[in-house]
Amino acid sequence: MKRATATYAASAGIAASANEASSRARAFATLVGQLALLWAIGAIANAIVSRTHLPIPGNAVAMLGTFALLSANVVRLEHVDRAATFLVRHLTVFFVPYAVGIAALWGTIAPHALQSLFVLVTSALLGVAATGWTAQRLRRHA
Amino acid sequence: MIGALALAVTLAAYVASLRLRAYHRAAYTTPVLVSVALVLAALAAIRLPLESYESGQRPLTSLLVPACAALGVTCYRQRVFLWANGRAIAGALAVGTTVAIGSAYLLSRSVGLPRAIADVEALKSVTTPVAIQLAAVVNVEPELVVAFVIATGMTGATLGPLVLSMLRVKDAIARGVALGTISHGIGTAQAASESDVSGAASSLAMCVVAVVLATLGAPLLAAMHR
Repeated sequence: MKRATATYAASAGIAASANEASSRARAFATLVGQLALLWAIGAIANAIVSRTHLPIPGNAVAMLGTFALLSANVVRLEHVDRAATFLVRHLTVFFVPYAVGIAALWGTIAPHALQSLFVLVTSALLGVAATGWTAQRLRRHA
Repeated sequence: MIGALALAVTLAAYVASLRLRAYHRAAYTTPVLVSVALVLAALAAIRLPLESYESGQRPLTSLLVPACAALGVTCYRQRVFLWANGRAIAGALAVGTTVAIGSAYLLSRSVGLPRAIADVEALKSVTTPVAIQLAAVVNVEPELVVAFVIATGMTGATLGPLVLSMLRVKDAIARGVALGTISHGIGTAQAASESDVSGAASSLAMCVVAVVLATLGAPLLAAMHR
């Protein structure tokens, strides 16, 4: 009797882990499928821009296009939400290679490094101040 | 083979940077900064030239295309918020980006920076995946733009909250919009750590700024230099 219970428990355990594995596989398949969909939207947007020679980055059109497709209910949020969350969470890794490439350009920036940094910090903080101050005023008077 | 190794270097550095951030959260543990430092150290250690390293990164950088579509999804998720606060967000974005770009141009002129760098200073508030392509529109190296964009993100995320507090900007939405407008993704991470509302406002501002600068700013700059 005791042995039978033990066998039952063990087989239940195996069944549970098999179940878990298959649901993980399904989640992975969903992610890949959604990635493919977002990729297709982005690729089409980029193709349109390069065909029409618009002076706009294709990736900005991809962003707008996705928003428009979702708003028009052509694409539903549940068709893309997992892949979107994944991509946005790990956005930084995609431009690490570019940031590494700056080492090769160091020669061009080095003579202007201090001035560049001064302009960058000053204008960024002026921008933060102007945006925050205006937003707060407009919301109070809304 | 070398390509796969180079790609593995990037991924390993990124995973390590996430571990470090989980262990110790600070401005200097921003994943992109740590990843770049680790990659440069690894390349020096295994004596891999930068060109060979870059040749292996295509699979990773090509993911920027779906990543931008994903930012459209982020924007869509905040649509209710967008309609409810449209006027304040639009007004703040218009004033804020004008001040940021205008001051960048005037200051660049006054300290005598070359034109290419002045252009990059003007466009530095746009989210990186869009910035990489903007570089082609104004004809500068994408690496240069990325470096400025990341530096702007870190500046706004670390010093921005102090500036806002000094000006007594306490409204959560206003703080979020300010950080997202100037410091894109890095600012949004900072805003989200202040409050959920700030994070939502910030990610929305980031998306709108990217679209506005890409559709109006870059063609304008390109036309000015023609």
